[in-house]
Amino acid sequence: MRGLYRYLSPFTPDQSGALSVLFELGGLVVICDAGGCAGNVCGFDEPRFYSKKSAVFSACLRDMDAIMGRDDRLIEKTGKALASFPEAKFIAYIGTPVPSVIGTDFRALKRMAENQFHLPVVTCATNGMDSYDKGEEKAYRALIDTFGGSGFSSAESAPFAGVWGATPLELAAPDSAELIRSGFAEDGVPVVTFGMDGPLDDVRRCGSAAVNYAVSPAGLSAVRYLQQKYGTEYYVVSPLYRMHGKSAGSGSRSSDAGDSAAGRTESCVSAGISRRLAGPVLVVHQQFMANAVRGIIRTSCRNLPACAPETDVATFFDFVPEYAEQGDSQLAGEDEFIALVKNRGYRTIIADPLLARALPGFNGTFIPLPHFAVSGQLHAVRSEAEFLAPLYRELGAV
Amino acid sequence: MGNEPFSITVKELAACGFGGMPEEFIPSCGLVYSSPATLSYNSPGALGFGVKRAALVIPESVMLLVAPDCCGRNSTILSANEGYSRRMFYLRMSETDLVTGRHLTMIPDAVREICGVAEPRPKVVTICITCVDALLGTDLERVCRKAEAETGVRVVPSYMYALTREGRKPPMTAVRQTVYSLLEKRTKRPDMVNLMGFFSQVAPSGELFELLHRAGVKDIRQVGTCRTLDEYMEMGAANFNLVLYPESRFAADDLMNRLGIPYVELTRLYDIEKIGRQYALFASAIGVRFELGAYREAAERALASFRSGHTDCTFALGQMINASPFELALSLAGYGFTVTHILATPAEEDFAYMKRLAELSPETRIYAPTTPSMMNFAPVADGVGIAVGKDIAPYFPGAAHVSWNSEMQPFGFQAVADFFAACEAAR
Repeated sequence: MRGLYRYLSPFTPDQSGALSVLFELGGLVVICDAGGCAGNVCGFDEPRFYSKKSAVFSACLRDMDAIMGRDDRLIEKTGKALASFPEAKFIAYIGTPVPSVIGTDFRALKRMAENQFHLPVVTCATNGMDSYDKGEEKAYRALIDTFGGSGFSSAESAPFAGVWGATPLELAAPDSAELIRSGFAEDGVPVVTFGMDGPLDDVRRCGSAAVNYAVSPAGLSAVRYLQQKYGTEYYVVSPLYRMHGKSAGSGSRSSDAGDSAAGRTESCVSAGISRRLAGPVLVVHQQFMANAVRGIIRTSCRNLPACAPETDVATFFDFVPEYAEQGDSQLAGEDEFIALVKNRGYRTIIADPLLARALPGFNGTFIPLPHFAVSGQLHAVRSEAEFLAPLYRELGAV
Repeated sequence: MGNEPFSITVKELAACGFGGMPEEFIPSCGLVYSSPATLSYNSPGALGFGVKRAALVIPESVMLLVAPDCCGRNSTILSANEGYSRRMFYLRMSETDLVTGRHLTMIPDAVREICGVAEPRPKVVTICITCVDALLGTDLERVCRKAEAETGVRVVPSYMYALTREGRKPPMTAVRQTVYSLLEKRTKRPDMVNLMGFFSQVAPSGELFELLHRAGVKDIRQVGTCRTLDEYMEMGAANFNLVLYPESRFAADDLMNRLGIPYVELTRLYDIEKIGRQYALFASAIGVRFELGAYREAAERALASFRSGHTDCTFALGQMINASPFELALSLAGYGFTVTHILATPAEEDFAYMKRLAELSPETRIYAPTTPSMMNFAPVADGVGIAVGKDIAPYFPGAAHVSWNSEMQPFGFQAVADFFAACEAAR
C-alpha cells in the first residue's frame, strides 16, 4: 500500500532540513509546533545539537493558538525570547504540520516580525511531510532572498567559491565540510560551505561568489537560483570532494555543459583496489553521494580484467534527471524499493543499514553506507574514512 | 532580564502559590528553549516512555502511527534502541490527506496488511494519530470500530496530541487510559490488585509486594509485566487498583466507572516518616496492619551511611527523575542536606511541599528549564556535589551525576535506600 511503511520508518522531514541549513548562523529559530516537532528536529535529526549551541525554540503552540490562529501571540513570545538573546542576527520561523493545517501565512508573519523587531526574518513554510531536502531548499532560498545582496560586492571581497548543500544530512560525516574546504584549498580555490561551519556573513556575500558548487540536489536548487539571481556559474561536484581531488569529482557538470555526468567520474582512490563487486549493484543515498560512490566503484575496476559491474543509483529524496543514468530511479516508498531490488536482481546493495530491514530475504552482499537522514545517530560515523571503510573493505582496498 | 537565566527562590515561589506562579514556569506562555535538558519535555519518548512506546505495553499488540513523517521520526531511532521497531508501523500522511481525509479510509487495509507481515500475528492494533488529526476533528473511535469490523482484530485508538499538553487530558494521561481501555468486567477476585501508574514495572525488591502479600493479596498485576493479552485481560478482575503516579488517575477513574474497580492512591515519597504514615493510612483503609520496622530501618541505614561520609553534600535536582523534584528536595533538606538548584516546572501537586520547603530551604533557587533565558545558564563548575537527573548533567559538569530515572520504578522505603546507595556510588 502506498504510504504504508511495514519495515522502514520515517526519514528526516523537511522541517529538520530547514534547521540543518540555519543551525549555525546565529539566528533565533522558532519551530512553529506544539513541542514534539522541535524535540524530534533537534534530538534526532541534528547531530550538532549536543556539541554546538544554537538558539532553537519551540513555539509551544496549544490548541487554542491553532484554532484561533493567534500569530500575534507568537510574535509576543518571540519578543520575550529576544530579550534573552538580544544578539540574534535574525529570526527564523520554520513550519510544521500544525501551521500547514491551519494555513499560517508565513509572509504575513515575516512582515509582522520585521516591523516589530527590526531584524531580518526568514520563513520556511515546511510541513513535516516532505523530505528533508525540500526544507533545505526552502531555507537556502529564504536566506538568499533575505541576505544575498546585503554583503560585499565582488570588487570588495577576495574571490571565493560557495559550496551549497553541505549539511550534516547530506554529507558523509562531521568532518566532511572541512574535507571539502581543504580539498578545494589544495586546488587553490578558497571556498565557504553553506550548511556547516559557515557564519551568516558568508551568506551575506553569497551574491559575489566567483563560482558555486553543489554537493547535493538541494544545493543544486540553491546554485541554480543564484545563477538566476546573480548570474553565477555553477558546477555539481562530489560530496566526497577531497576523495575525488583535482578531477573536480564525480558528476561534475557546468551549468551549460552537455557531457555525461558519469563519464567524467574520476577518483584518486584506485590504488590497491582489486576486487570486483558482484553485480548488478545498487547504491542508495542522496543522489549526488550515490553518484560519487558509483564513481568509486567504476574507478576501482579500471585495472581489473572484467569491467565494472552494472551499477544503479536510487534515492528516496530529490532526484535530478540530468545527473542520472539509465536505470537510476527515485523511490516513493518502501514498496518501490522492495520491488526494485526484486525486479533488477541486485547482488550487491550499498545503502544505509536501516534499509536492510525492508529486504529480509536478500541474500547478496549488503554494504553499509550510512545516511543521517535515514538512520540518524543509529549508524552515524565519526569521519568520512569510517563512512567509506566498509565499501573499501569489499573492494579489497583496505 | 538581560543575559541571566530566570530563577526564583523557593520562598518566593511558595509565596506566589500555584495560581500566581510566574509565567516562566508555564511553558505555553513563551517559546520553549530546545536544549538537551528540555529534550524530554519536547519529546517525552526521548527518555523512557512517550505515547508510542507507552501504548505498546499492551501485550501482543502493534502500533500503526497515522501521521506526517515528522511525528514518527524519533521512533526510527528510539524503536531500534529500545527494541520495539518490529512492532511499529507507519501510514505516512501527505498534504492531500490533510485536505481529503483519505488517510482515514486507508486504515482498515493498512491494518490487514500489517497483520499479514507482523511476526507473531498481533492480537491488537493500536492506531495513533497526532496534532493534525486533532485539528481536523478526526473521530478515531469510529475509524477503529470500522477497522475492527473489517479485519477481525482488536483496534484501539490512541492520541498523541501535543497541542493539548496543558489541557484536561494531556497525551501521557490519555495514553494511560488507552493502555487499560481493553479491560473488560470479570468476576472480581478479592486477592488481586493492579499497580497502576508506570509503563514499566515497580522494582520487585520494594517492600510494597511483601506488604500486599502479607495482607492477603496473592496476585499483583502490572501492565508492564503482562506477557500475553490473556494475562493483561485478567487485570479486569482486580479487587482494587493502586495508583502510584498521578497521571494514571484519569485511567483509574475510567476503570472505576466502566468496571467498578475502586482505586487507592499512594504517592512516591522520599521522606521516611511520611512513607511510614502513608503505609499506615493505606493499611487502615484496607483493614490490615503493616509491619514496617525492617524496611524502615534499611532506609534509615542507607541514609545514615551516606550522611556519615557526606554531611555537607549539596544537591541540584532536575525534572526527569523518578521522584517529584520538590518532594525530594524537601526530604533532602529535612535530612540536613543543602539543595542549591531545582531545574523543574512545578505541578499543582508539588505545591503541597512548597510551604515546608520554604521553611527548611528558603534560598534554594528554582529555574524554569523551558524558558528561553535558560540558554544563558552558565554551567556550574563548583558548589554542587551531586546533580540528580540526566537532563541537568550538562549544567553541572563539576558535580557527580545520579540519573535516577531507571525504567524499573523505585517505590517506598526501598526507593530511599536505593537513592542513597546510588548517591554513595556516584561520589
